Amino acid sequence: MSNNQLYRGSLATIILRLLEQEGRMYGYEITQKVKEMTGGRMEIKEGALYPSLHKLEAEGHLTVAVEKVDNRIRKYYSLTPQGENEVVNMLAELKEYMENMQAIMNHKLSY
Amino acid sequence: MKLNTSQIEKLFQFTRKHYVEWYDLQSELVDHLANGIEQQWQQNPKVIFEDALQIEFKKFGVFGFMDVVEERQKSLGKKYSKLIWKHVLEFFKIPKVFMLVLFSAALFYFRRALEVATDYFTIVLCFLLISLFTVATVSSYRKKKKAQLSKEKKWLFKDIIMGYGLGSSIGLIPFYFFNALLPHASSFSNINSWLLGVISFGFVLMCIMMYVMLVVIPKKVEEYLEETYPEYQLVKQNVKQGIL
Repeated sequence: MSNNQLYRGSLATIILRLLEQEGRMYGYEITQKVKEMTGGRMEIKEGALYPSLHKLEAEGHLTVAVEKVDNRIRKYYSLTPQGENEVVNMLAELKEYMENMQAIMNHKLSY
Repeated sequence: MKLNTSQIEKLFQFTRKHYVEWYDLQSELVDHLANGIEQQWQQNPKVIFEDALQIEFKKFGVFGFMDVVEERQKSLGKKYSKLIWKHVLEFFKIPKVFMLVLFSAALFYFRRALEVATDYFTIVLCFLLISLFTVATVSSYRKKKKAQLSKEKKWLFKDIIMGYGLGSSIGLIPFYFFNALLPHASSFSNINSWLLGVISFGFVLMCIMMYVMLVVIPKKVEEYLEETYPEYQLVKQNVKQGIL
């Protein structure tokens, strides 16, 4: 991901939101999807993606399924019911954060 | 263009070379690297395998696979702690809770009747725990050696269950606990009943925890591995058939 603290804090939200839209995805697919959606302006660093995926899985937000694709094993992640609730909460938090930031940025001093 | 079997094997070797010992992590990283390399080949088929691999590896950042391994260890460590507590809490439910109460009470009355200095008891206890730890460590080392020789695939959660348990159990040896609570009492019969009750209960609880870590969970290791890794059965079957 771009070397930016703002984006780093949102990685879990991005993953959960993508899985909500796509149903199930594997790690590499997530990196490519983000790149495609942002026209290449944003790239998820692999060194951050997998730790985040594993953390979300351990917290019970994601579940894993495997498939043998070509000559290797592929691990697909999808949301658990708990993860689906988490997406709603995270998006609400993100919306509130964006509104607050906007209010601060657009604030004009009035006398 | 797709990667062939020998190139996939090279990717497994590459992850091993970069300190990823466990098959569960290796297979996910291998798939990722393979996808990246195939993507590069789509754009430029002339790129050689080794160069494409280095480009993909650099995307993991300066620490390589370290962050991935550390986070996985942390999250599976948490899962293991939850598993221990789940089993220990079963001893607070009927019928096992009777056992907990019975053993605590038996220990309480046994100590109450004991006319020896607490120091002797602490020494005997430490000796027993150290012996138990030594036996468990030796047996775990032998099992590991056997697994290495048989070229069995390593699973991180299995290593945590079989090895980590021993590591934390030494932390449970309550030298400080007994020394702090029973510094110079000449006999157990002189100690306040409440305190002795708490010590007895704590001791039985500690034994239960060790029993869970050293016996109960390792016995069910296959079940927990299947639950943690959906690929576990698939890999086992493939290994039997000589595919992987």
